[in-house]
Amino acid sequence: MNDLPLAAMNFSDPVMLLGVLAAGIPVLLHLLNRVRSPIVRFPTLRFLRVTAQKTSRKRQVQQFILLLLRMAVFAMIAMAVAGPLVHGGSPFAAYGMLLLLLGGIAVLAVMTVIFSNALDQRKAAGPTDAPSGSIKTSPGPAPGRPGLLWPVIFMLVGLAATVTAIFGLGTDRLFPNVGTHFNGQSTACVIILDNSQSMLVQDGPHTRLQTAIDQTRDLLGQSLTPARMAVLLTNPGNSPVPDHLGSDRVAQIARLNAIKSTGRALPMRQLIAQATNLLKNSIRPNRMLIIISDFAGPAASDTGMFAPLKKVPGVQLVLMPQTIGTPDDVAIAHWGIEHGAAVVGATVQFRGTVINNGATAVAPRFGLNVDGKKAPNTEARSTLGPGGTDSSRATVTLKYQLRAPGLNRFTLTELDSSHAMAWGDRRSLILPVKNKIRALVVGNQPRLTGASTAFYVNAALAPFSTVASAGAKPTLWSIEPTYRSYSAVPGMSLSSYAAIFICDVPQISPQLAQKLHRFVVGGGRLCWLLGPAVNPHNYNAVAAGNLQLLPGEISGPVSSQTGAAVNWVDVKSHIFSGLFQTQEPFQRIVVVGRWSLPGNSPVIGKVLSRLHDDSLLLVQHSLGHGRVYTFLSAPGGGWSNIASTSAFLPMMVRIALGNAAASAGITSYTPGKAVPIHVPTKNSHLSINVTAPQSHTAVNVLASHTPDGRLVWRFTGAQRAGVYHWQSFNGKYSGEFIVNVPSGEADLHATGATVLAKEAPKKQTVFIAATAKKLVEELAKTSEGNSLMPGILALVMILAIIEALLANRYKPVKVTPEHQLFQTGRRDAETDSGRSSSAALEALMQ
Amino acid sequence: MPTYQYRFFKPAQAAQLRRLELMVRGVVEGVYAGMHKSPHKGFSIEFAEHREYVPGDEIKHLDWTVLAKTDRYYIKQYEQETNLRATICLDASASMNFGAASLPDSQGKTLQGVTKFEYGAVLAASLAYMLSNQQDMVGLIAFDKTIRLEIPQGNGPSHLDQIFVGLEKLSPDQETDISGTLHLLANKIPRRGLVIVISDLFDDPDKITSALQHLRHARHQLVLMQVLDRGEMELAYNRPITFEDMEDGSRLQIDPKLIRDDYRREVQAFLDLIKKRCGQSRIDYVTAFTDVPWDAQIRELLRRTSRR
Repeated sequence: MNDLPLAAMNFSDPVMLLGVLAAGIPVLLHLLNRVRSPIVRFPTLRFLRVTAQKTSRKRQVQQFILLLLRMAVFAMIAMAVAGPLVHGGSPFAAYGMLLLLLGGIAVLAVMTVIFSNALDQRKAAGPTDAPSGSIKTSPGPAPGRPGLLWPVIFMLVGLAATVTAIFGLGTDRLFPNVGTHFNGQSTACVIILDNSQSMLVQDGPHTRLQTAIDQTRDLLGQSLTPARMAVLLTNPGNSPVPDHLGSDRVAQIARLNAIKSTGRALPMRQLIAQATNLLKNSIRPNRMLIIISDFAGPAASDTGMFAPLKKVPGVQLVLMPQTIGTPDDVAIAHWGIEHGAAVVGATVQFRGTVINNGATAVAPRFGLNVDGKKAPNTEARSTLGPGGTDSSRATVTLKYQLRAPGLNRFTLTELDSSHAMAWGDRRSLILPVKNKIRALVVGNQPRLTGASTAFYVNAALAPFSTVASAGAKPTLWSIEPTYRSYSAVPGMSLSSYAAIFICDVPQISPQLAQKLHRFVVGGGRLCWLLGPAVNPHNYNAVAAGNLQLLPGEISGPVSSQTGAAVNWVDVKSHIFSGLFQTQEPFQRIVVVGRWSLPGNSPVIGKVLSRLHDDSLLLVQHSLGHGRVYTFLSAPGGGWSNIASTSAFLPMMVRIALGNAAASAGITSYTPGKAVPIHVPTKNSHLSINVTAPQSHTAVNVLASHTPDGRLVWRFTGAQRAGVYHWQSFNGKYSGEFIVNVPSGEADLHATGATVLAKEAPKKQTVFIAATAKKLVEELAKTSEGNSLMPGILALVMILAIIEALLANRYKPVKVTPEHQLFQTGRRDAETDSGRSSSAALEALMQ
Repeated sequence: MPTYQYRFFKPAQAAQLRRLELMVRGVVEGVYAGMHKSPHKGFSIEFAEHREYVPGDEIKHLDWTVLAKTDRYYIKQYEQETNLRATICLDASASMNFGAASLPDSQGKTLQGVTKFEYGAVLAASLAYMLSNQQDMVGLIAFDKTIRLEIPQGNGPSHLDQIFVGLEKLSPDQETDISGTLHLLANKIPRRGLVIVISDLFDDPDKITSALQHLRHARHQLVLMQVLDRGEMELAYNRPITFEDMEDGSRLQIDPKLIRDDYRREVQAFLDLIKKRCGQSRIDYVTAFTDVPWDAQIRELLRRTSRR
């Protein structure tokens, strides 16, 4: 996390700062000169001492200034080479701080010398100004005791200036953000723009999505202006995913205008992986991944979403949260069928999940609209706790008896909407409602007789047929059973039936078997109820084997006096699910007589119910597009009490209804998923046109081959909920499919960007900025900055000139050649030792 | 003159000095009649004053003319001229052993400079010869913190030989105490005479002044020759130097560049102070730089002493 105070000044090549050590060269030379100074015997040191005491203090200060200047020159050359960058403010402010630092150090150093000398002088002067016995070697007043106040004051001023400058250069506290300029010419940037539904929240005058688009436009066009860029959408819809970084900023900005919230959001990890791949191939030194999102819902729920960034450690991660406030609103997160078949007359139980995002508990009302009209008696109220708490979610359950066949749109509507999330106030589900299911009950008698298996099955499939009275409005029921003798079936068409119940029929002719086989393979449901009349040899010979109408060869019959109760049913099976809370109602079924399969195990299919003696009661297996249910016992003939139990009727009904939508030939898909369209043709050149709901433009889809070689037309543009119509190019084939949104983003409880940033890889540079302006300010502080190199080099030149001037001013007075001593550094001090040349003496006396 | 080649005196010097005479301004008490004024009134050529006759005076000194005119008895007195008793005091302390200034030789080649002591010794020898040559008595005292060599006043070639050889035997390597030595000399020299002090005078100027005044109080004529080396005046070093005091051995590391100007001012102030004090005490003061030829220096001395 990089929201720590950032250094206002840093260096592009900090290693070169080692050159600052060169600042010690003048000091070393100075010390070396002192160490290597030759010894000269001199007549008296009196004047030297006096002069040194009186004047060298000033000279020392001058020399000290020279030394400081030289050190500063060396240090600043090293600093310039290291590429100084200043962030977050005007470079002039940085130069000011730099000068303040130099000045502060100089004042501090000089004043320290003066203070030290003053102390020495005071110490040497003793308690009085003119000590007795002191040598007065020159006219004029004796030097007084030097004051310490001013040096101390100036030392404090120098110290304050130094500390201020260091603070100013080391932090961004003293740097106003005025004049910051971020140069994005070396930046490659991928922006992940969240256009999911949660971004449609009205936050202030605009939606979050609109604000995010504005921020993106600002980043690309004005603030960041990266050299290479790409925008990835969390909900890309039909827009193509960029496979490379582009440089056309104008085109990229223009595309922003078309962004809408459609379809399903891609996993954020996938998007980050895409962005990482794009950035990985970029040669730009500064690579940046910006995520503009509200970080609400699924987008922020994956804590490992930043894992792909580990592959490219140099990428700067920028999180731009677009959550301005928490909308005080309730939204519908999920809406679907809990149970029930979509068949006219069936009662479907819908279930909705609602979420409160507001800060206070609410009790909103919900109602069901069917095809835009309010369904009677379908209002529900739910109590929701404050947003972010466990009680902020609740389930709304509504029941509705389907009345009209065809495509029905069932909409759960929040009746007390605050309109902050328009999409969350209502959520729709389109169901293809099948008209009444026709079921064929096949018995062994020409007519339906009482207490027979067929009678019980027929009664279960049409429970209201016997109570309907003349003139009364018939009770809406979804199944229309028809009874036929098994001998009549081979001569009739089975195509109008959705389910066939073979009720204790003694034998099956091969023709009937073939007909039943075709019926099941074509998608029909076949239910065997094997009673005492069944001829097992005939069944095994005709129905089992190749036709696979039975799960195996039956044997028996097996009967017992006490019978065997049901021990277990597969409650996950659609014919048992949701009927009862426990297995107990099923265990009331007692079977006296039954058929059995070898080893109590079906050859094909799965067991849906077993008896206590581990024998089988119900087996289900698939055949083609249809299903076969095999009851190894029957309600008639005294073999079981199953017809008198509460489970019998729903079992029969559910077998008859099956998957109503599937039986209608319409499959529901979710947005963003590829929809396979099966056209009954082998013409691979045939194309189909798919028309989305509320759209007049058809999308052309070409055929492709599945791995197993079949032809399929895959439509990938299903983003909007609704009914999609398709038609082949030659007009020969047509159909439709439904796209429903099973759940939507309604939980606006955002994950804090700070929390998300902690999930980023270690040492990952992470910025958090709500706006483009703020981001650029943050970037200007760290990633790039204004180079101070030219200014520092200019400063070096100025310092060098000052140094030269001062050095020239303080250089020794020109001496005549004959008086120059020690010019060569050779120790010529022998001249003072009394060993003068006799030639000189001779010359003197000539 | 023996054929021995003196170190500080050469025959050529004798030729140059023979034509020079050192005259003192004040009076000196000599032993023999000479060319210098004596404090005593005698009977010589030059009339001095009249004095009333007192019994005991010789009648031949009566001024008969005055007696004839005024009928009073006056004795006629004349100035007495005597020879000079000079003492040359040469500083032989360690500080005089410094010689940095160079001196071009006859071929124009720059030679290593003579030390202040050597220069002072040449001056002392020259002055001794010159004084002796004009029949004055001259003595030599070499001192540092005490008297190292004392050659009583005398005259004649053998005496000069004693002085010249004595100078050669001196080795300047001790600390100096100029004022103390001058005080000692003031008590030591009984008669009024000429005292020539040849020294660098690197001591407390107050003490030096006090000592010089002591000599003046003893009615000596004082000539002060301050021998200096250009090197110590200019401080012409271009790099940090560790200076070692030639007398007490103390050291001071300093960059001469930093203090040169102020040092010069300080030294010049010291010289000016000495000069001022000398003027106040009617002491002849001559600054003798070692790079100035000795004869020029002697002539300068003679010019100074004969100016008033």
